[in-house]
Amino acid sequence: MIRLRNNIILPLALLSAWLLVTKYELFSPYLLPSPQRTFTVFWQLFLDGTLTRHLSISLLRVLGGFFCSCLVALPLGILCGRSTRFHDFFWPVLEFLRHVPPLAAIPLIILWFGIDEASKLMIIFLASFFPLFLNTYGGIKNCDTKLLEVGSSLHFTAWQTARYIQLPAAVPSILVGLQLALGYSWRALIGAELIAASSGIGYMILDAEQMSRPDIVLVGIFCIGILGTLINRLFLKLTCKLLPWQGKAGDD
Amino acid sequence: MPIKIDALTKVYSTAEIKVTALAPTTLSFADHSFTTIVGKSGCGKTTLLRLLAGLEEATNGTVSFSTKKPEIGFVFQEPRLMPWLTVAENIAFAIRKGGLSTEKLPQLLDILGLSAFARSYPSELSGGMAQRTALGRTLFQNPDIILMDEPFGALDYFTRKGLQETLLDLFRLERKTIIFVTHDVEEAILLGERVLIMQKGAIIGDIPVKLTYPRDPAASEVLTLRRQILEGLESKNVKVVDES
Ligand SMILES: Nc1ncnc2c1ncn2[C@@H]1O[C@H](COP(=O)(O)OP(=O)(O)OP(=O)(O)O)[C@@H](O)[C@H]1O
Ligand SMILES: [Mg+2]
Repeated sequence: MIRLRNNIILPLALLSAWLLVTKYELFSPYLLPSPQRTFTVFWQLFLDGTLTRHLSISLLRVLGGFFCSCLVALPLGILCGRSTRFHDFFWPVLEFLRHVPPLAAIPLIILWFGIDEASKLMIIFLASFFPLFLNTYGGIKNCDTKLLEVGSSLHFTAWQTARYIQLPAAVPSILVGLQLALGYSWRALIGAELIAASSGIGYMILDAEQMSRPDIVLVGIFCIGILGTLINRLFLKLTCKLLPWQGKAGDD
Repeated sequence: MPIKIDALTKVYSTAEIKVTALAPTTLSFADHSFTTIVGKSGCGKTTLLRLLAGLEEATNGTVSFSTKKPEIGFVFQEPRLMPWLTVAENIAFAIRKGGLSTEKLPQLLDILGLSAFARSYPSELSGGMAQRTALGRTLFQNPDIILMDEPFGALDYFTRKGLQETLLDLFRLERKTIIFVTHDVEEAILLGERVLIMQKGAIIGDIPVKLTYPRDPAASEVLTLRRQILEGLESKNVKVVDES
């Protein structure tokens, strides 16, 4: 109860400040629309289906890009963590790419993939690949040698060691990677939609800016923030079930 | 299966110093024998066991067994349980290799006094319970040779007594070859058919214990042996270990 109340103080204070500032029109309503106005616009956009359409398109893009990223980053991370040969083979290129923000590659991506879905998937893929890959790699690589020795003492094969010791030991780290990757995908998507798109929540915001509708911009921002939080919550709920042993100290 | 070690040596070299953890040692362990090794902390007991198990590369010398690849079980000084597995799953961990069944799991849990905690995770166990789980893991593996590194160090007197009896029963019934490291002189005498005394990387004493099991810690033979071993451990004129 106490935590809940604590949680709610700051948002309520900010909302009140917003109400007051707009009530006394400290800023022009063209710059800062009132909460009531914003909510009304939200409700209109929701009723006529615009909001749902843009949001669901954005959501699908995020999930699609995130899924592609999982397909590549997870196996690659595991392989590089397991074998130095793989690691040495891929590392120079990956290290180079890691330092290039996906937003910097947008012009090229648009040139190569057009402004259709492929380019958005590509941007999300680039944004979510590294947190996922690096956390998977680190999780496998940093497996406690004491646990690995238990495998050697049981005469485990390389495959058995990977499957029954390294992989389970890396699960918490992989989940952190997934969580980060999801957050990064979401941000990168909005970036991509702001630059080249004809649908999606990012496009809605850009369109509203060009039509001087700060109220719609605010609705878009709130939707992004709230949806991102909800997705993260959902993800944590799901992963808690996967880690019944977590949150407590290890054995030695 | 007799285990023979020949001029086995281990030197750990770091940037500044070289530590001779095991000075050249030649020994053999008979089939179905129970050997205990006593020595002060840092004298190289763990190093010797790790070399026997093949977990460490020898600097020099060899370890050989009568059969090609005997099954060796290792009970580590720390529990080393898989935090993501329950007690029962940790004990049955060797099942991942194939060729074993969970049939004897309930009995094993019972012997170790862990039945009520079969579904607990390692983070929910006391130190002694974790150590018993680790012991169970090696017993489940059912190896020919069992190497134990101070397995009862973290246990209270009664649990320790109980597990010593369990281990002796197992030894007499299944005739395993057991090498058991401890820093407790009494434990070494009560369990071993032979006590090796170790000091600064060298075996400085090899004492047979010809007493029938179970042994009485208050028996005069035990007390005599105890004095003898303690004197050996404290003696100053041991082989000089090169630490250049
Ligand atoms: N990985 C290592 N690198 C460097 N030195 C080591 C290493 N492992 C052990 N040593 C050294 O080897 C010596 C023997 O260590 P060992 O672990 O075998 O002792 P021990 O008899 O098992 O001691 P304890 O009773 O405290 O467990 C010690 O001086 C230690 O510092
Ligand atoms: Mg030790």
